[in-house]
Amino acid sequence: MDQLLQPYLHASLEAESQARLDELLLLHAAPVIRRTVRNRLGISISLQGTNPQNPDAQDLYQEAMARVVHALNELRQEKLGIDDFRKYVAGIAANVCRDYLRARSPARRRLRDNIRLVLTRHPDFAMWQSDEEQLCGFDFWRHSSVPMTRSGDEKELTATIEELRSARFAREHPARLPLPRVLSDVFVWTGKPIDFNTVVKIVAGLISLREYADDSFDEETFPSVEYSQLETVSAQSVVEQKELLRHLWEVVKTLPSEQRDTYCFLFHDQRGWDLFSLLIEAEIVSLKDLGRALDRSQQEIIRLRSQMPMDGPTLAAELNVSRPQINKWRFRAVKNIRRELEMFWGKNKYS
Amino acid sequence: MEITGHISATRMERFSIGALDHPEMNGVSVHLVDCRACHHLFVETLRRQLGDSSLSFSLAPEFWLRHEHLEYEQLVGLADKTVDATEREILETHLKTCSSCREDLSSFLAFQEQLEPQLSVRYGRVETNRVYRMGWKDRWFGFAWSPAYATAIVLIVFGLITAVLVIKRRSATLEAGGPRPSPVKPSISPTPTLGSEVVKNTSPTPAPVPTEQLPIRVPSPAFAVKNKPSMAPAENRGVIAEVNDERGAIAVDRNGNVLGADDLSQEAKRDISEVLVTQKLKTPQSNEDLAGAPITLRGPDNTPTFRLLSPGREVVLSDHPSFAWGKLAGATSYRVVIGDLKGHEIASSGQISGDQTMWTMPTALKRGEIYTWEVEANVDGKKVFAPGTSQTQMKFMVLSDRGAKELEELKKANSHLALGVFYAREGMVTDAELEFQILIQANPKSSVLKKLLKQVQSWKSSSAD
Repeated sequence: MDQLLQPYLHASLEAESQARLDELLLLHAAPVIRRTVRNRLGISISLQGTNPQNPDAQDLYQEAMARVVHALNELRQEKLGIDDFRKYVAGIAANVCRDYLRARSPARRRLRDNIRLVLTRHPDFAMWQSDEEQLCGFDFWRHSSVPMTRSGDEKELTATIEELRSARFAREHPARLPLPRVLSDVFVWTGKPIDFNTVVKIVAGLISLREYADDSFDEETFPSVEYSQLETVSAQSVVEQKELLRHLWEVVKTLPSEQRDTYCFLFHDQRGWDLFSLLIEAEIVSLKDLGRALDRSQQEIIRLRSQMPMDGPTLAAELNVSRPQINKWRFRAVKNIRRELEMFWGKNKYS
Repeated sequence: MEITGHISATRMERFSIGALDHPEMNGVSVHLVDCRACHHLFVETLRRQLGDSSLSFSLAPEFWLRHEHLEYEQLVGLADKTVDATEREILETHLKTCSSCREDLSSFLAFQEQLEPQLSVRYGRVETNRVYRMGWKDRWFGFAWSPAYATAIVLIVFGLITAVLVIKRRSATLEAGGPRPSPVKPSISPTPTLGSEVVKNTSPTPAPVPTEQLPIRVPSPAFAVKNKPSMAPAENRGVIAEVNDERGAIAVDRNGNVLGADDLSQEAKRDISEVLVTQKLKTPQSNEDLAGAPITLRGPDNTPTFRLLSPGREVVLSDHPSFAWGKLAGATSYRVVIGDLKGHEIASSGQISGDQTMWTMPTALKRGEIYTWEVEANVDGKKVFAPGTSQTQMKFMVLSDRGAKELEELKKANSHLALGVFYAREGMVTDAELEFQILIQANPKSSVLKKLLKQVQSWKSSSAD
């Protein structure tokens, strides 16, 4: 049994047991979950278990935490043995990521893109923003004051789809009709603007969209691609690791400030650790050095480190730029760093 | 927060993962600058948390961009070639390792190509009118209530009245023999695309239309041809038939040559030529093959049954066809059964809820084969079948592999005429009807198209008997 779990397992009082459980979750489970989700899905999760740029982050975090708590309860009832708690949590988080990916349907995503293309390209249709909502319909509705159609609950939506199907598609299956024609019939039916997500749901229902899992995202296969086929630099001994990190940091400091910041805040090693933690642990920099090098206060460095490694959307919000811009800085930074490290380490260091 | 004394191990552990509150995090970070012992503890804490596995990180751009899945705007940018060189390189780098995004992109490009010809098909005019008037009314009241605009309107109206009086007085003086002023042209409708009969409809209701009062349904969407190169006058080319198609005009000359369709296959051109010259479609073999045979398997039954809607004795494109039937009052569940011509069951839907009247096959049927289908409804524990015993078998055929490939090629040509002729030849009656309806909207005076449509419809009605 993992030594980390002993205080929790041996706590006799309810209050003490709760305190040990909180400690296990906060200090040991949460960081592992955050790193695993960031690594596998590219979604960063804050210490509070959220991500303002991605509402899925909270669901993922809570689901993983719930499974960990369930496992710890079973552990107390001796239904389970855990040799390495952090590894066990990483396994749970990986399963949650896998379930998340399986629940995503590429068919629906593609239908959504196609509907959006029709709405923005066809002269008779339009899509526009109104009070936080994305509405769509016939183009001339754009300026009308007619209220929008709301989706209602799932039951109501199913009834709408059935009514619509028997009223307008009794003779032809909508899947056999051009998408603009189907949309036209939906709009004729609603008679007023409708929110975009509802239209996607209605059309998906009408054409009996077959949902299937996004297996191509399956992380079962991806990690092998990550570290065996893609260029990876590694160092085994402590001295070698320190040397590698020191050189990496020297190169990073010479980058233009946007590329430097982007690389620093997004970086993670194969275990999911952020650059600042690695540099401090290797005693290459202190918090003060980091502040100086990145032209930021120490408090700012502490705040940023708590969010690292960030994901693209989080960094875009942090730096107040677009995601494609972040990708450009990241792309250039990686190319520059690779060139510099290659010169120093030689290609033989790449495994 | 000022920290006095050294930081405890537990507190440092929390600090290192950022689990202290904001002032405390700041307090500890300030303390670490001056206290070597605590800084050392911080390093040790991190070392313990990091563990002793070796350091490894990727330098491959593909790795760093692996989660940057393509968004809609990027798909559009790639399709329209509006992304700059760096962004294109980034997106291509991501696409190298992300098969899902690769599929997204190819599906998007295929759809965009498919959509292109449909952009000239105009939709929703009848409804447009109805709702537009409501918006117009709303805007009118909003406009009129603004004092500045109201004043302007009063002035414009006053000006118009004065102008009319002046014109009247002038026309009176010229009545003796001077040139008459041209009659006043009718004012332009606020909805210039509408026909007058539609304008008469003053119903402002924007609410969903009940089934019984559906708005007039245009049989099939019309298309407006945009900027198509015009051909020389028909008589100059010895043209005997000409059809205004979505891709431009397609004509057949006295020698049976098809003009304006160079990119179509020889087979497609031959079919078009034959149909336009003879003004007749050949009855497809499938009409005979799919004619219903009486049902003799079940005994006589007078139970009221329900209708099978689609597919109805025709050839269908999809090898995962969808089946639709009319609702039967009181049915709590349905079961769709697909059979072969020998009466063997090939597939079944299992029990479907009574509020569903459609089912799509999850598995593929063999192309080029003929199948039968029936629906079994459950009403109060009693089974009701459609087709009933007094009706004939419902058959359909899945378009052959060869046909499906030919159709795929043909669709690239953006020709409703070529498609209509193809569908008719293959026995895809509903699709053929749709294509000819579309063509007639663009060629309202074409007698040959009307004949062809009538012929297709006659196949439909005879198969429904």
